[in-house]
Amino acid sequence: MKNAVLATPKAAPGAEAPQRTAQGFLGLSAKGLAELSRKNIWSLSEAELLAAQSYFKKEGRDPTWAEMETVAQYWSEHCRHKTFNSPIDYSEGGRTRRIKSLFSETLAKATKELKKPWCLSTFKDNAGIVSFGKSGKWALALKAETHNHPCALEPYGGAATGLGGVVRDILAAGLGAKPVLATDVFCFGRPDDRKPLPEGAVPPLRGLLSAIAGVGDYGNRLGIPLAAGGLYFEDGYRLTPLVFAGCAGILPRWAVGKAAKPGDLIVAAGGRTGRDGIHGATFSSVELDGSARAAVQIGHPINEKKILDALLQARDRKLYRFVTDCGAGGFACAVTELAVVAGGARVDLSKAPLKAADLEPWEIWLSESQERMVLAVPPANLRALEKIFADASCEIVVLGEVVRSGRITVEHGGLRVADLSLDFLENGLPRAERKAVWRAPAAAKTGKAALNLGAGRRCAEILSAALAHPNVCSRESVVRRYDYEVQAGTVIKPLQGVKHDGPGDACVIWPRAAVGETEGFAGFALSHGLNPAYGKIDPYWMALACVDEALRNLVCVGADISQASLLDNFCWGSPDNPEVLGSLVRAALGCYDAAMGFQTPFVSGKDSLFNETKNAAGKSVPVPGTLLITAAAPVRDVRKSVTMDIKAPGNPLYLLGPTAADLAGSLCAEILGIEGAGLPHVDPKAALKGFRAVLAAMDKGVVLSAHDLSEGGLAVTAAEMAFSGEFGIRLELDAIACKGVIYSPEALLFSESPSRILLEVPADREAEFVRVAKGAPVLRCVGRTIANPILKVKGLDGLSVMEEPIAALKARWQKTLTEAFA
Amino acid sequence: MIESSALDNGAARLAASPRATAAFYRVEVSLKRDLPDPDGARALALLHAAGLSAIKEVRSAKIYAVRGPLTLSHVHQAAKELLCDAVTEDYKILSSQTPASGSRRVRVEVWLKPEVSDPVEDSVLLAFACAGLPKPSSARQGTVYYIEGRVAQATLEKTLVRWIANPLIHRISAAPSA
Repeated sequence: MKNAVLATPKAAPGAEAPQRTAQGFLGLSAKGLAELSRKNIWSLSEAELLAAQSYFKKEGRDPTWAEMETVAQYWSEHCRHKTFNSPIDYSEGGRTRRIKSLFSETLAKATKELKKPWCLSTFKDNAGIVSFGKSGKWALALKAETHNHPCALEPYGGAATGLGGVVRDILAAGLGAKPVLATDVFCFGRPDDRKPLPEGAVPPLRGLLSAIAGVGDYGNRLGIPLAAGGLYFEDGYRLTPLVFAGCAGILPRWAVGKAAKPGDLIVAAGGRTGRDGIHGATFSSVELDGSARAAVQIGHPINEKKILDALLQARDRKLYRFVTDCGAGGFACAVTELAVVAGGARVDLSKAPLKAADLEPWEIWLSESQERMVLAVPPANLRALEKIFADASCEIVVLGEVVRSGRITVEHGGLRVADLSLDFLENGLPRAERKAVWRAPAAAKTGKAALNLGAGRRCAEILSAALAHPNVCSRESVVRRYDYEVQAGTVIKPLQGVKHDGPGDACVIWPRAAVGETEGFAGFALSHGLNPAYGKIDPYWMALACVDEALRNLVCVGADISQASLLDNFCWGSPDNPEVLGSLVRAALGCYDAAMGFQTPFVSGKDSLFNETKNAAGKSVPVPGTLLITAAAPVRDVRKSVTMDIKAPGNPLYLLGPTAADLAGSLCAEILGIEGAGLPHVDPKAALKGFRAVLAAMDKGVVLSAHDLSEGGLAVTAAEMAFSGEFGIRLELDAIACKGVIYSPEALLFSESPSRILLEVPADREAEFVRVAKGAPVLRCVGRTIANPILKVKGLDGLSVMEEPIAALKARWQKTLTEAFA
Repeated sequence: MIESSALDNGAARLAASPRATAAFYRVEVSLKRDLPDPDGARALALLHAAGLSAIKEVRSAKIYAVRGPLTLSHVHQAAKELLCDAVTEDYKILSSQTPASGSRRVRVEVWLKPEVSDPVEDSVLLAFACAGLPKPSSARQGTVYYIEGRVAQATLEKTLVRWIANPLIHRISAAPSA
């Protein structure tokens, strides 16, 4: 077998940097190519390497190192979403069918079929863009990203740059949006986990605290409210945590489109280029084994703030025609993307401002140094652009120009570093074929088998354990680390209630500072849905449950879900494993059915695969298949927004939606140590009717508080509403509308049937509420608020099931993370 | 894995940089003793979580390594006006450290490795210039932990690299402190 040689000719003193070429590349066997790819973390498959070899054979030369790195970055899973865009033979229930493109046949298909006129840009830009407000002048950009691999190695820097990256996505949506909301969701091992870890692994508690500090330190300096998020703990994340960061921004409608033209200058703005973060894009396609540590990056939020301020000024003066951010792959991906849009580009890397003078040209091209943007600027506007950026103490430099050559040409001084056909980069990627298998779980888990909760534990004990569970307990010690008030538009905050410490369902943002209007009261709400426990049983129903939960959270604050938009974030293990891929396919199919059922399109999304780490025994451990759904919807009048805390005694409590014995994957089942039967099955049509009825009632002002039922079911929801409002609640279990016959108070209190909301209605307007909300298929009065600060539950036999002081319940709920972090 | 010298490699890089004629200073900024120290408390919680329950207290401080055409008087002025909040913090300009043998107090310095960008550097350089002081040629910021309690040096070092710092990006030094 021949070996390719990395050849670096010696340069004469004072001469240009030497060229590195992959000498002998054209003559390598498939095995030799694979070895070369592995050594250099290119993460290219055999077919991809052979396609590259064939291209360079036609070119009649070995590739330069920068060219191979460009191919690797541009064809990476991170940049091209190969698994979602390649054919899959999917087997389920003994039948196999071919999916030509999972993306086109699920997520994009739903968006295409729903054809919502308010979707302005979906799946093609750095973020999804939808219309905003009544005036027709504004749009809302939405994006959620993951930064899992960097966070597994260096959680502080990884989480910080994850947030920085998604903020830049919003700055690069259309011609740039002003960020008005940031979000974060963390999935980690339990904070009390002290089990042995393999060498180099970060303990979950330390990882979580570092990630929180990273997001806080970066986000707080940017002046963007971080007002929505979540935490999820489970053993499956102890080696590979998941870190999601999201952002929403406002931009003028005229700035939604962008197109560079030949003759435009290619301008790099922001931070200097250093030797940090090289191979981030390809690194995210490999299992974490400690071999790819150069990918760690450290953020510089002050530089990002300078870019933010300068860029939006330049946008409003229409000084540039195209903008994108330098994310994974650095200039190699950003400039190539621009070149693809414009038909070609030529750049000279010797112009790039550097952190270290000894960077080789291919390193400048590949570096993922943070806080950099690439713009296409008409030459006549350059001076004005330079003035704006200079005033913000932000460096910009002309790297090259847009040319209609059909190629990306990269030079360093007089040296040709790369010269690649865009047609090859765009269309030369061979489509891998994969196999996926889904095996249905045992009937006991999914079916509606009779319950057996005879564990001898009282409902009060289960409730106490549920409230103290890390996945339910108070997040105040995390939320308070973030500035969620900056910009003065956070109408509904993450913490609510009398003492501003209750758990909100969604945040409501009134972006008046961004739109410069104080007359209208148009805002938007944003929420999340995530439940990996359901995914372990059936990812299809997990997907529906996540969409249902995210939309339900929006309903709880009064957002208009008829114009809701969804973002998807899939985090899975290696798609090379047919069973892992099978569960991913099943979740994507669930997303399609959820989007169609709820009539709600996906506008953007991201997949992060290969989330696997070797454990101490050397075995690859994938994360649980995890789907994060982010939902956003307009709030027509932010003054009508609703919070979750009980407002007064003597008010009736209505429960929207039927209750079934849905305990598979539930918190109650986990607490009792039982498998539980009945995975929640969402009926989107019925759910939507109920949600619309609730929104109609909220619009009339006949809902005082609303809170969704999720982990821990009715009991946890009632407890949280009670102690947040500091009034008691009396529930009557025989008033609950059941699907099937349920005799167990535990099932009634802790079932996690989907699409349910508990509502507080003003006693003097109850009749009006019932009339307005008559469209809800199932809506029952199940109790009343009381002055006595207790949670009292009357069982089916009329006897008391539970009578707990709400102060004690709150104390249990509040102490878990406080103690873990102390 | 842990440097035995009290002077870390990041700061050492500055000290030994080619501009040897420029002066090199290290300034330590800590919260006043009577104020709560959340970073120290968090480090203590992590060390306890790691099983080092014999550790009684951790106090934290920031440390700056600055090189440039500066006099001691310049550095005092910068420490007072730029690096330290005089209401809540104290500063000291460090001379070379002499490890105090037999002490139960360990002083740990954590610095970003020389090849890792330090986002604080730009701010420090700019602040010196804005204050009318000579602009340093370079600056780095690190963190200092004073760890009080009886614990074997080897155990502490092993725990520090897993729970307090990250050897991927950090250089760590630990030495007994008076």
